[in-house]
Amino acid sequence: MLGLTGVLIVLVVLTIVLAGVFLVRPSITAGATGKVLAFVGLCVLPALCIGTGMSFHMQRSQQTAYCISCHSMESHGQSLHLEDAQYIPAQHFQSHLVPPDAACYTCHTDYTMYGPLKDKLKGLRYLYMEYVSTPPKTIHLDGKYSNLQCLHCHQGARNFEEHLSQMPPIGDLTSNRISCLSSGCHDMIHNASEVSHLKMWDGGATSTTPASGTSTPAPKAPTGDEASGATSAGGKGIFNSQGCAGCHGEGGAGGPGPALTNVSSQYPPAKLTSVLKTPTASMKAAGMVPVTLNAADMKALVSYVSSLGGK
Amino acid sequence: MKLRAIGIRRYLRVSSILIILGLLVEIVTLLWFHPLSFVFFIFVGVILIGVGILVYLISLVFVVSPPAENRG
Repeated sequence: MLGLTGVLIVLVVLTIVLAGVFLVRPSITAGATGKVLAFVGLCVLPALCIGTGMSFHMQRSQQTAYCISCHSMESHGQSLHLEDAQYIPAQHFQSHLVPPDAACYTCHTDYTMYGPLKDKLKGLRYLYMEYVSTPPKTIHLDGKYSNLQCLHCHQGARNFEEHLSQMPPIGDLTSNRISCLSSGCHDMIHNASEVSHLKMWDGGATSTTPASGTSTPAPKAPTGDEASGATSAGGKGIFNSQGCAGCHGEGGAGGPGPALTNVSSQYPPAKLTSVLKTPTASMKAAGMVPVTLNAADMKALVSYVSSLGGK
Repeated sequence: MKLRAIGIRRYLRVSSILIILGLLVEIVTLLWFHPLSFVFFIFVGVILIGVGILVYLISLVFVVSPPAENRG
């Protein structure tokens, strides 16, 4: 971005110099060469500067740091660092399910200046509230969050397609008849008004370092117990995000499916991993689907499930 | 006609000033990392540059050469 900024500034300075020539000596336009230069310096290059500047600003506004540089958005930015990975934005941001430097834009592609004229006017209204009137204490998403913002990444992904049986009909999701966020499946969104009371994960702080240049110290290497605890805590988020709680209940306490509070006595970690990846026939008959995760997430999930009932 | 009397040079100067001011605003907004920079760019920079271009184009359309009897 800095290189592009430099090129743009050179272009703008060049145009200023050329325009300055016609300011000081407009008489040079008397000749044919002067007329061509005037057309380039006072029409073509300025128009090019507008176009490239617009493109630059639009690209820059997709950056996470840009979005949270507004005071009202700071707590939303903080919510990306929540320790509890059941917060969807935190989970997506910390696991790099969305590009960390364009996290906001990836999930809000139809917002304010990116949407049609109506959305652009909304963006201006937010600016007015931010700088002239008073922004609301708790900021809510304007309108209904479109499922398409989720589906443009998740639809077609293996992890999504393999869990379709646990979800509402895909047609209802694509048509927004049933919302991913307000139908009871994924309720924990930014919850920005509460983040100051919640524990933060500081491992990815540098990814959203605001433009002011303030940086957060690098996280300490965890000790063995801390690592185990962190893995288990991460596993809780994976447990919830994978929809395990839908059958096994909150915290694995039991629901339509069996409770998981005694799993550790029946299944050592290796066996549990195997069963999660390839459920037995009786499990499949009861509705259990294979869990597809990378090694680290699987380890976290196994650690969490093994810890259930032992607290 | 008044426009004819003003002459193309004056139009060129006005156009140059507007474009230079607009481009200076653009430089500031390029270096300012803040949502307001976009607003300043659109509502100040682009308008100044756009009006500057318009003035230049108007000079091409409306300012005609002086009548033959005044040419020397």
